Amino acid sequence: MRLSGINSLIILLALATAPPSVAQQPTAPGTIPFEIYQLDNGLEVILAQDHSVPVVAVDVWYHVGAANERPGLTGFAHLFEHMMFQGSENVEKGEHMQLVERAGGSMNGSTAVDRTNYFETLPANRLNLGLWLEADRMRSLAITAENLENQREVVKEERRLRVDNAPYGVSIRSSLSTVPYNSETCFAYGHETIGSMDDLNAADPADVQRFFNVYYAPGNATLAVVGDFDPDRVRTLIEEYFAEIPAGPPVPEVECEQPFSDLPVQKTFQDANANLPALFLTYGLPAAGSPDVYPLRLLAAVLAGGESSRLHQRLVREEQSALQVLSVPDFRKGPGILLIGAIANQGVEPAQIEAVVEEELATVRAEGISAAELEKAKNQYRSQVIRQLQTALGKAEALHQANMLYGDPAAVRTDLAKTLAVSLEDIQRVAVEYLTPDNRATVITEPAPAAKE
Amino acid sequence: MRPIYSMRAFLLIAIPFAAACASAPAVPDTPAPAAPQQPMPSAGAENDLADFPSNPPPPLPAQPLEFPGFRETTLPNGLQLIIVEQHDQPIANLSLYIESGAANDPPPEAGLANIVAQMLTKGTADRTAEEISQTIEGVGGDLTASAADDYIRVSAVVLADDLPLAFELVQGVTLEPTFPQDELDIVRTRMLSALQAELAQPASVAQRRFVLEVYGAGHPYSLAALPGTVSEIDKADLEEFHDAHFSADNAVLVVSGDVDADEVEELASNAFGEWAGGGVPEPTFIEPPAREAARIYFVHRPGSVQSNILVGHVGIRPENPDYYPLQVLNKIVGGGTDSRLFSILREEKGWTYGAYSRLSRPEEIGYFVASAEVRNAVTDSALIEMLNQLNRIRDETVTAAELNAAKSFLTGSFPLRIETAGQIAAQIAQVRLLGLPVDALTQYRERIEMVSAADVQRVAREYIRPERAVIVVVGDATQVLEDLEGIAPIEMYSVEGDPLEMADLEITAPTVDVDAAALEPAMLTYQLMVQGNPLGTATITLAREGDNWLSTTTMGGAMNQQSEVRFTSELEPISAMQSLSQGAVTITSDLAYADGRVTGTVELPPQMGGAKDVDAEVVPGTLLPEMEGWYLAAAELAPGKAITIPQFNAQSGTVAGVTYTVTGTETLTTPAGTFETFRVEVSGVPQQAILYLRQDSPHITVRQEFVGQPVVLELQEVAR
Repeated sequence: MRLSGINSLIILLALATAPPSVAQQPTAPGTIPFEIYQLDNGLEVILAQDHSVPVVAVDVWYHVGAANERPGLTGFAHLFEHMMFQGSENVEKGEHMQLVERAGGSMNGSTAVDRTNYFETLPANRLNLGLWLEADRMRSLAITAENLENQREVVKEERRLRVDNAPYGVSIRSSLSTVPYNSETCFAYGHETIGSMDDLNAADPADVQRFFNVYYAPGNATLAVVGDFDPDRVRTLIEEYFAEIPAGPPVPEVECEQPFSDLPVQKTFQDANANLPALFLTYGLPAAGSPDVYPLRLLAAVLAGGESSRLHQRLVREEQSALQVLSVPDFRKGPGILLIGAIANQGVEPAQIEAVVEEELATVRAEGISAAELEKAKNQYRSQVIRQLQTALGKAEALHQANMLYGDPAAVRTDLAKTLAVSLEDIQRVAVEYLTPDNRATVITEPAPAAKE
Repeated sequence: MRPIYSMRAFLLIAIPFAAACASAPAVPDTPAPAAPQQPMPSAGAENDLADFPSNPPPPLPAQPLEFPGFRETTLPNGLQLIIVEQHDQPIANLSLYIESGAANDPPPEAGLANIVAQMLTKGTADRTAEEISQTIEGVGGDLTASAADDYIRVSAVVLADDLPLAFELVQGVTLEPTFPQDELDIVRTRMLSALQAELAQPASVAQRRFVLEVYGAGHPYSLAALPGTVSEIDKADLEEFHDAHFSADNAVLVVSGDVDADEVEELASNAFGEWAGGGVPEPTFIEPPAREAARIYFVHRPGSVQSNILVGHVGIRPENPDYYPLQVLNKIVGGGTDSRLFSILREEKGWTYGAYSRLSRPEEIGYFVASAEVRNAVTDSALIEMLNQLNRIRDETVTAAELNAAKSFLTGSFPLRIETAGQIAAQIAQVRLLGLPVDALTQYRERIEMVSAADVQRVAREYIRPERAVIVVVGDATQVLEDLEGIAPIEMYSVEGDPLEMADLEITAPTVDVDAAALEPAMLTYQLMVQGNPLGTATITLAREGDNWLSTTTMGGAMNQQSEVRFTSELEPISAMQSLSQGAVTITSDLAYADGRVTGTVELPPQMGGAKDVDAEVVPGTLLPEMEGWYLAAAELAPGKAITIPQFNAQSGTVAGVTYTVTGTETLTTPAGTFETFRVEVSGVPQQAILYLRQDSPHITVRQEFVGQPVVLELQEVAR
């Protein structure tokens, strides 16, 4: 192909000064060249070079989430997501965000059931800033009574906003935790991520410090650096900033036996914030390591992913009995779930929608789905994965996710390949095995009159 | 009945289903960049880690930017084709730019280019709107179209294997759109409500006034869509715009990602080779008015508790090489949280949540603007400080530290804008649409690097002209206008754009006949509809309490309201208690009226000012919040009649004259029955509304709409 002169020159210059490019054209979609190693204190490091643009993502996953919480100490994982922005020995409160923004980068963090993540995207030459910021809070988070009190209030406010005052908030949170999972045998997933206010109120700085010492130690974390960097320099910086941080005590195992032994179960919530009734069906699924995950993921899309999905077509378009439908497959380290939800239109009983969903599922169990539907679901999944891999941060997150769920960052590629290899028989088989009324938690939301002041 | 005006405090309504479904709470509630903090105690730090550097490490040497290779060519019909090969992921982006946009709208149909863009994907010779969306969804792709001032863009993102399909779809929607009437009706309605929402935002009102004054009436960049112009647009206008502007020699096609350049050329010539070229009408860019002195254009927004300030003037044309030093200047003056405006107005003075500056770069001449949103009481101080900072950048050489930080930010953050194939395509297209050589992009970092402190001062003196600035302030004239006198001459306008005089703002007792005896005990139930969906109910009860009236309002659902208002049988206010909440935001007030004074307390969320005591002298006839509905119910109304009633605004603690204009009559059917109503427009409040009042006395509210918001209250039941 023809290149304009100036451009060829730039590329030649770049070749002369840049380290040899590792990221060649991938042999298969989802292939990300990477290396993985461990520091003496147990910190796991994933490095993936990508020299297409001078950008770098620094992404730390702590292998702690709501699943690690014990009765009486819920809400800690999420509380930490807030505490981690309250300052550390060398970084003042609020300064983390300011330093990243002023360097031209962006940052955030989030809490899930199995992990909590913290990440920055930065100009390549500010990689050291990202590593320094993450190391400083890993080694010296400022856990003070004042910060704890302050963030406890913020978390309570968030709970009010997102759960207590949000229409369907309580129904959805419960459908992802306390209703499908048996809280006695699988407390790990059988309580809400956002936690109990009583537990948070009772927490003192010593509890929080203990939680930090166990779960935010280097041995319980993985650091991913993805982008345009010199691997020798990165290794040196990581050694300099992280190697001296003490390893921390062993992390207690998460137990989740017989998670779905309460199914089938049905629960009704009165919701003063909701004006239309809704239905949420949660099905018990295997852990992410199971090969059944691949067809289940596609089946979820066929049922309610997008406007041409089966349930959208039937409930929203044809019968107009639902305002909105959705499906959320939630695969975890331990047993996962599939949530299928619908908001009923005015005058429609949730039972009517439940009957239609079950009728559609019965059809899938008896007849399977069409080849065209399977093809479309595969296209959508492939596109979703590949789009995620366009950015350094997207790659870092994908490598982390594969490492956590399958114990191997290379599983980004195999996970995609296995999903694309799913057959029509696989789909029908998992529908028969998992998407049955016996394996289901049913949550019905009924609008309630507004609570008086 | 009782129209619920206080709802204007809460018009941040969404159907939060999707948000509530997010399985992981993703955003740490870190506050916006905070004021300077105390040093942090080093809890948990171990002494044996003393080697850890205590300061953030300085930047490493900058890495070179390897801009992806690209090919540029022009098809025989004049279509420019740019191909960027970037093979990192098997994805392709195809963007077709038509080099005509909102600046090409015929003035009577302002908004046309925007509607054309939205209608492109709503039907072609081969596919209906639904077939188009299903086709692209089926391959996991996206197809979008949008309009800017200078262009219309159609963009498809697909997996690399589906590139031929992307060509087919983009070709279809660009060359053979059918603009079906039913889809047009939906798009126009949606645009009207988006437009009204925009006009309700003080920042939009300020921006519209600013470009009008900077460019002058009649300049394509000061042209703005209005409800009147959008309503005028019909299918023939769309077809005419399409015929006139969609021609091959007025278009740029950018294809980027995991593509083969030769194959793309072939696909492009198959899809677009037959597309005709031919002259395209260019907008007439008149000279922006020459300005001899600074002037304040004040837009009166009654009840505003903040002022929106814009200070600026015309800037440069895109090809001007001073763009690079001006970028550095802008970064230092107001381009971020470490800039001078932010540090001084927010961190040092605490006057505002944010203060910024910006340099626009359209195809023709751009502008420079500094902006801030500040509390009423500091409006004059903030404006003076903004002008000071614009003078300072002219008078003083910037420090080496400021210069280096600005340059390092601009060169370092640039690559974050070209990470994906789509971002690269957009950057290249932008440079091309500005008529610039590609080195504007490939040499961007080097050119920023070369800027010196002397360059910054030179361009500051040449282009930054506070003494000739257009100054726009949107706020409550009764609160802030007097303080601004002496800074610069002032012209005043209403939010709708009409000239205003100080005398127009004087608030007097209402001159309307009121038949207080017409009121009778009642219980009215309303349904709250958001985007056509029922999302709550409101009950308003009027009951006797001795010789007086007690009106109680209870609303639940998407927002909550409780209020109790007492007034005499002659409609003289006694007291008003109110509690409003939506989500975690709560506003309460407890007010009493006696002897021409309103006293009590108001509690606002911290970001709106927190708790405060109220003690204000008010003009005779002033109503307390939440009683104006009963006043109107008893007033004498007729088509064409306009009544201005002074009302106490609990949030600002001031009195504003609220005007009710009966613009006509309408027959309305609601679940409560069929009513002959007066249509009444409400103005002089931050959130404008339309009321439909029963013609029979008392004139209870049958329906209430909030301008620009998808929110309606409708009478469901009337009981005694």
